Amino acid sequence: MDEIKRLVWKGTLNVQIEIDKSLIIATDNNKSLYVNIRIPRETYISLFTESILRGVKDHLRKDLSEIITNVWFESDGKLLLWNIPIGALYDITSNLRIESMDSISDKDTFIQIWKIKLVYGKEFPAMHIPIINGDSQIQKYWMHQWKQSCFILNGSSKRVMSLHMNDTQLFWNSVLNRTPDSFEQISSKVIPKSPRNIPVVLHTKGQTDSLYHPVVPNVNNEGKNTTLRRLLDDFCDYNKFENGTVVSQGICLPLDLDLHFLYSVFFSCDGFLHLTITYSQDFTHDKGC
Amino acid sequence: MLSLEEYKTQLSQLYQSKVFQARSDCITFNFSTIIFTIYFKANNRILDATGASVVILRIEYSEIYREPTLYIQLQHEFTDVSGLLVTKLCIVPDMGVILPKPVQSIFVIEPEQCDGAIWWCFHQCNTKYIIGDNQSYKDTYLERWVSSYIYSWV
Repeated sequence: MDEIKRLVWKGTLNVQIEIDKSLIIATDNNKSLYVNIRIPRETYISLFTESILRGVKDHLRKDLSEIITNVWFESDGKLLLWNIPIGALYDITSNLRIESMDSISDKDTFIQIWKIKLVYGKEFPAMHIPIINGDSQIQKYWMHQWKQSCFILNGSSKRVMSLHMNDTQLFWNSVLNRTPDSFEQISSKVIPKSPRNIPVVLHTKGQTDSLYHPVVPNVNNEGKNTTLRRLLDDFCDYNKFENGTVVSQGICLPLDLDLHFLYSVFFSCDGFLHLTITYSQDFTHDKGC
Repeated sequence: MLSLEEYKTQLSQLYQSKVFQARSDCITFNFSTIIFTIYFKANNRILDATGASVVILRIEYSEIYREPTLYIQLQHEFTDVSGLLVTKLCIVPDMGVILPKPVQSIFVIEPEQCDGAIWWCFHQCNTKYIIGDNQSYKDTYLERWVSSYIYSWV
């Protein structure tokens, strides 16, 4: 189990970000400008906005400070919600999955790259939470997510609200600085051994602006642990789901898995288990998994 | 805490009492069994602090916290190039400025996605401590919630 958690924590994405042309000083060849970056799956993409823009600052029409509050990210023209961990965003949007290593013809050189766009505008997309207080706003949002997941797990947010200030900062720093030991140490103070409910966020494949927080008991009325199949029975259109898939952390999940076990190994940096559901009609276009 | 059924009953009573609709600063309202949305003219404190002329309150139910939840949006009105009066979402760095100083530390207000738009949510994790969770006063839970979460600043 610890090995799975370690692999989840270390998961990264190769991301190529195209910079909005309206931000770039015009040149004769009018070429697009890209930034290539490797981003941990378990973090928020907007924590990287400043470093992305700094990487191209010599090509920008305006000063960084004039731009940074008015940008967001898109994939194929669809808004990427920065408040969802980037690994989950990738699972929602990307069709770049492989069936097995055998399906790759050249194992030595195969690299998956997620191509997204950094967009600049004065009017925000309707679902974009404006970031006007920089990383501290992202930290506040993240902390509230943990209060919510703590409430779902324990029936109260006390375990988060009573964390020492040093622990709270250490917890956030563990996400920023990628220190798994601190993250594990403090998250274990919040997550009980036998939770009341499991904090789950359901996403639908291809729908970047759709997220649903069901209340899912760890143990149901019949005294049985909730499985992934039971979750789908209760909260999804099972007729549409036939032959569909559920993905978390980039991995297709067997439906008989115990949800509590799944949570304990795959929960995200925000304290939630993010599950992406691909319904059967989408599956014909996306068999790779 | 309230069950969904208790919340629906008390929200319906709140709507029927017309406490919001009868106010002179109420512009308009919408009501469904679980959501009550009211548009108010912004008071001077809110206008001075944010420039917003309209305050929209949206009372909803949180299934996670099993609590009433208050979402707000601020809008400012202006006349566009075609001469039409239009409204635009007002984004302020700290929504706490809309509250009178004595209650600023009680509520945490943060933006989040709700029903396809951005609303500022009064966080619910300490609601039962603010309202009091005594079973014998359960019938007036929403009334007391409105008193704390809305009348303390609107």
